[in-house]
Amino acid sequence: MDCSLIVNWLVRDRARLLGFIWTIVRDYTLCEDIFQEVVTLAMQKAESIENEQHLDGWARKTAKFKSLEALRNRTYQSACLDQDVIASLEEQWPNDAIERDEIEYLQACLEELTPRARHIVRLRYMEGLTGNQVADKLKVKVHSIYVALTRSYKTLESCIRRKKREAGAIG
Amino acid sequence: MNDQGNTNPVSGLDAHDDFLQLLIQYFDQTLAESEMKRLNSLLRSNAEYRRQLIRYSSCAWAIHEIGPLHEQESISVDTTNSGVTNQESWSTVHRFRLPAVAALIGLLVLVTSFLIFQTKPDDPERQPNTNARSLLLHQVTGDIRLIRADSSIEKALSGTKVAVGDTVTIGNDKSGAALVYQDGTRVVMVGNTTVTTGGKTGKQLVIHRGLIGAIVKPQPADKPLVFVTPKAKLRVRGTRFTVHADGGQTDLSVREGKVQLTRISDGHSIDVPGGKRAVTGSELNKLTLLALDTAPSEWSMDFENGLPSNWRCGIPVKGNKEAGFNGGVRADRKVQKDGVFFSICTPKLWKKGLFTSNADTHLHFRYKLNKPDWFQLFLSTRSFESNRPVVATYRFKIDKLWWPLRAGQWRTATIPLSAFGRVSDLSETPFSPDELPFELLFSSKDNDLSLVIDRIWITTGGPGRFDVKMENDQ
Repeated sequence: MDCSLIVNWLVRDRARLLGFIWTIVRDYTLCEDIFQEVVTLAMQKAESIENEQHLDGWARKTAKFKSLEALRNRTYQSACLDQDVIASLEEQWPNDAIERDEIEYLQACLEELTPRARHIVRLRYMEGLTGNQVADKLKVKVHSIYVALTRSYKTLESCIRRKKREAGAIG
Repeated sequence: MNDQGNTNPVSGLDAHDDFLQLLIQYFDQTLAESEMKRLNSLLRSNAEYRRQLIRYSSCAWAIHEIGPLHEQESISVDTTNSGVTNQESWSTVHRFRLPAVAALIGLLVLVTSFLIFQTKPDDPERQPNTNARSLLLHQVTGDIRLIRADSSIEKALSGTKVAVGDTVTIGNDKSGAALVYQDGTRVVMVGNTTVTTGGKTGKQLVIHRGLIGAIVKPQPADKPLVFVTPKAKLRVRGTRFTVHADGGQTDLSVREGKVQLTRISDGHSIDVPGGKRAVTGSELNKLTLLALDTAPSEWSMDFENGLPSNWRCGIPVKGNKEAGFNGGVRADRKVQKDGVFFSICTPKLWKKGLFTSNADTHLHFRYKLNKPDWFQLFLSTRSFESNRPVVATYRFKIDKLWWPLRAGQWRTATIPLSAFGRVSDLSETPFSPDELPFELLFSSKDNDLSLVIDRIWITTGGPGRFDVKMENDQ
């Protein structure tokens, strides 16, 4: 596969691959580092990558390997998902991960959250604060942050589904 | 976990919510060992739970990526409000709830508008921030293509927006462009270069191949600008540097500041300070700091040993020592689209440049002609400065080079570089020492003047004006 096409594809669909990496390492900075490693390895192996489907599988496998390697090299090791569970997720990922059109809906759906919910979502996911840090900042118990995040996610999911249905109906 | 679908009277969450909350805590790294076991067990046993994790994780990462669009919001939080959906728009709510804030925003808008209208429209560093994620192409010269994230291809012009995921391709060695970030960071790309923007705000740049020069504004310590090449990763926090990358190696030269270079094959890193260079090379070699490989400010070529193999056009001419001629180069005939050209051209030294120049740099050459007619000198340059074109062509043309003429008479011309005028944009702007000459060309069109050059040399210092001296007839 052409090197430019490979990089283009990986960058275009980065949210899907980065979501997978994040599932394993749960650290935003480390995720970006691993993603960069995958991109550079893909550039080096461009000649042996046959097509987009091959690239998709290869990138996820390489990302898994690099993520686990990164976790092993960390001084502080928190409990991670079992390897057989990660392997099942790897297999199932292409079918269930959020699609590009859904990301567009997601952006619009964020506007439908209440200001408070949106603020918590922003602190946790956009700014990368932990649940405890968000709770400290807002002077509430961490449990109420988890509850708020759970509800916000459910709202976003149903909003995405609704927008997808509406787009399908129009289409 | 409540698998019965009942709602917990305290939290108000049902079984599905309960699993979601488990996931949220997993990603927050706060699960106890027993909860971790439970999560693994649920995920192992049921594809639907795995589907939920995949949806949640990819959705959460997508929100992380969306981030900058919402950074400007500030909010007073009503922590007692547990409602989630809200059909009123954010601006509507706050316009009525917070009149003082609205007044302040109004004032800010007025001040900002004033500043914007004071700004020159072509100044990319002071454009209004309409989209925090957009980068702009500026100083576009020649053939620049943009491969959009949706795989569509378009021709880029100055002012074209580049989104994260787009690939910029510089088509040929007469083309170049600058990618300008919101903070004023400039990444200048010249000839045969391909890059893809990545990262949340385009702050990761994948350099597939080619030559770039970057002037990077100070970056937050935890959010450096990252350049990735096939062989190296560069972390940059505020500096000026050039990097040349191809499949074989990455060659980094730092002018100011510091860049961390990490060789991808073995993970070895080195901090490269201003005035130093590092090359990835082979894994067998330790990464070391090298002196910058800069072009000399004085340069000479006398062709005594023939025509160097990297000269791009010209025919070697044997010398005649008795006649005071130790060998030279004759203009070579080339048929092109718009005519027949007779040319002598130096190597094209993109990366290093042919020579560096100062305000008083002069070009000299000893030559002879058999026919009197126009011939011109062209100097190709590149620059990373914002007030100069990324690539440009300058020309020197004067009839005194060939008139009056005695056929075969040796002459020596002296030309200050400042006498060259820019022709690539027809502006005739004088050459500036900010620019790095990378190729020199002597050429006549449709008429073979039998131009032979015995020697070309560059000096700093000189008369500051054009001069031609004629020697005795040969």
